[in-house]
Amino acid sequence: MRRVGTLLSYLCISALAALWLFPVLLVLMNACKTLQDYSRGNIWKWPQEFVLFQNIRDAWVLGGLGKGFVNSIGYGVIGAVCSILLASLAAYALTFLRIKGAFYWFLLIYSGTIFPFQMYLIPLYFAYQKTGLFNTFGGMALFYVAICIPFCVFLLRNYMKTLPVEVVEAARIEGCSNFKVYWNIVMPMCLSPAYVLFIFQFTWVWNDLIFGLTLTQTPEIRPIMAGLSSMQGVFFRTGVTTLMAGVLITSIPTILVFLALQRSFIRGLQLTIKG
Amino acid sequence: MANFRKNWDAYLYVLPASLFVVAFFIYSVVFTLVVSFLQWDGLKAPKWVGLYNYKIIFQDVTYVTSLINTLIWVVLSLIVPVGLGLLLSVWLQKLKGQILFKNIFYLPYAISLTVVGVIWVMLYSKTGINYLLNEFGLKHLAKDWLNTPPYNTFAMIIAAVWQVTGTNMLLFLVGLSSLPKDPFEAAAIDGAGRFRIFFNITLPLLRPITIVVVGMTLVNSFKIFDVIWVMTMGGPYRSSETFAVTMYRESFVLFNFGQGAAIAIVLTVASILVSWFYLKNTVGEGD
Repeated sequence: MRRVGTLLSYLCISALAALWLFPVLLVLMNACKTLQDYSRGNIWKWPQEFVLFQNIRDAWVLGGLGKGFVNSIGYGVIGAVCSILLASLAAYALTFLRIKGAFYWFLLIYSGTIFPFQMYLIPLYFAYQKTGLFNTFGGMALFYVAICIPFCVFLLRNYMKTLPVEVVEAARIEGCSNFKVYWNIVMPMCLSPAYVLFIFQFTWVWNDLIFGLTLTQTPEIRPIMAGLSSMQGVFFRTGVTTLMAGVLITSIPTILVFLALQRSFIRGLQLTIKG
Repeated sequence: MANFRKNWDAYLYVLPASLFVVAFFIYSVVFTLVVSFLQWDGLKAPKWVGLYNYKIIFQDVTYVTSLINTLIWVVLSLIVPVGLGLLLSVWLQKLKGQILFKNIFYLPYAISLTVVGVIWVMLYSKTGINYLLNEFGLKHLAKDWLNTPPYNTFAMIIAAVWQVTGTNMLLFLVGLSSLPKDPFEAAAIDGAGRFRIFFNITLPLLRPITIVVVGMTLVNSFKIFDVIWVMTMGGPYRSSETFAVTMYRESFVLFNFGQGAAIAIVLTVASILVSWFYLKNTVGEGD
């Protein structure tokens, strides 16, 4: 009886898992098809010819995703690295240097995570128009640095509070400057949360759609999700197979990160929850 | 003051991060609040209209539709992905081959909501799910899913469920793995059934993580944008808009910035109210 139950359990969960995988399989199948093959048949039909690489090239060049891909790698790396550095400085001061009202400084920075992004769209749109940051690479990068800072401070501060104070105190007694303590002692101990944060923030920047739509205009500056969204408008009627190849291009970096660094993801979730 | 002089450089460490936050976000909040009382197209001089932009949100049929859609999104996101995530986590916890299933359910989370939208537009097209329905003789169930309200909202919620359930499952699994073993052993010795153990022991012990999951779900579902923008752009005839989409359309398509700002404020108030519990739990008390 128990074995029947277990078997049933496996059957059910396998069916559900299959259902979950189906959209991914369909993307792969249809990204491999020629357009004629797609329009003559339906999305469930096995591809007659294998033209995946042609489709990917089309999405990259004709669909304009190549530019967005390169841009978003830039935005993601700059946004994540700069925000982690700035946030670690702040978290270090909030944890180890005696600052008056440290908790209020923390609240000020943390308040950046409270508001829905819709609050920032109109002001930033106008501010960017006025300062000439609108539709520039620098402007976008600057924004992504800013948006990543509050969460990084939150997480790094949490983490630094778990570090042994004695080590820091000892270094200070030996006459290390504040910056030396930060760079040579505290930062090396923070590498694992910094690593997790890099993944989180890079993924966030990569996946951002709404700010890309609002603060950029031309394909040369657009981040990848905004690029995919405009490509969808053009290609859904005339080139679904190319669009599915585009889906693959836009998802590959995050899926690779996900597969390679799953443990970090889980560790990150744990760090976030412990609070 | 002596303390300040000795320690003044400490402030240099906090300042850059704080300046970024003030310049980008605190400034924005004030600006949006002011604009929400104006009628403004961004070009001509703005006109002060007081609370008009707020009042109309609850009167005009477009905004009321958007409000209802937002609530549908929030309620269903609270029930389906959270419930399913919890169910899967408890189910998988004792299963051999857990890792494989875990990865399958979690995989869509590695795909952004924009991409999820693009994928599901294909699934809901003529040759997608409708084709299968035809093949299985269920032709009467086939619909133009994304162009028929209210089905378009539900169709998009299914797409979002596909993406987010895995994360909830993973969070619950993290929670389950950190639970103490004794209560479960004691209950097993006492001969308690599976359901009783689940409702009387597992659920209460999971409370902290449940609060986090529910909080995250609330905050995220209130401001759902990407999926809808890609799948229907809120259409047809603005029938599937949520507050986040309406806010964007009013501001950057119709250049009705005052209205957009007012909706952003309402969205903020609502999401801050509901995420209060979540914040209380993550910030911790007064340290």
